[in-house]
Amino acid sequence: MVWTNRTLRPLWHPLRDFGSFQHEVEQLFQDLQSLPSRVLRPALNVYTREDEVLVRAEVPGYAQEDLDIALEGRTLRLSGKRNAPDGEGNGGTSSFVRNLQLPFRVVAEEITARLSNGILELRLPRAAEDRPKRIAIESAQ
Amino acid sequence: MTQNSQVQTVEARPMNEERPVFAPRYQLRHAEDAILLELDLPGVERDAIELQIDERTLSVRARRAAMPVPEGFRLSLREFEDCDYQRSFKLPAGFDAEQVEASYGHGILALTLRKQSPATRRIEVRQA
Repeated sequence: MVWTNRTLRPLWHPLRDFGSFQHEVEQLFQDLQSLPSRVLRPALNVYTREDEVLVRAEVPGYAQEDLDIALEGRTLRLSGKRNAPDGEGNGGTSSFVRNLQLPFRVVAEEITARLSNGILELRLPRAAEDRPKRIAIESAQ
Repeated sequence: MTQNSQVQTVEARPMNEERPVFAPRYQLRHAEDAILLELDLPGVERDAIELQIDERTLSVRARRAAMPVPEGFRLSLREFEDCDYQRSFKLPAGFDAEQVEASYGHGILALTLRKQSPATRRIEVRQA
């Protein structure tokens, strides 16, 4: 099932996003001028297969050191914070937090991340112990 | 419900026949003697950006490489799509079109448009 999430938060889909609600509400107020309706940012595309999840995020303006990828159980937390000074040279910051519920456990050390031209791509391989195992059926005689 | 219900087939048209063109998000800031314009163009290669100044219109176009579903994967969530970017801006008077600086990094196109320095022009007085 594919959900397109331009303006609406999907009610249910296999990979459910539990945004940090309070933070996102704060962000909404800060970004009021550019958001006509509630849009989750940064935009994510998520792809899955049996043994891996691949996430792409549109994060223009963020450098490697501005981004943080954390894993807690089966929740991936993607966050970023960067300096975005305004016209008068005043300091300002832009930040985001997004939580993504994964369909299986992944190994933190095996997560790879690649950032190019404002697109972050994460590959999250499934944890070995979370892989489906064949169970031999013994015939009882 | 009848016993012999006919199954009708409907031709499904692929949703993304044409690539959508989006106006990129931008931020416009005023500095003392220049306007700073930043456009969000994630996923674009620097040489795929076209920048044009025409009279007082600045236009930006950019082609973005496709990011298809990777081999073997299926799509679970899509919040952004393959697209190209295009946006035009009307510039106020007093800007030096010759002196536009543009740089692209981390998915952001940053433009500096400098105001023309008020030149003192010598005006010749002709004999009437």
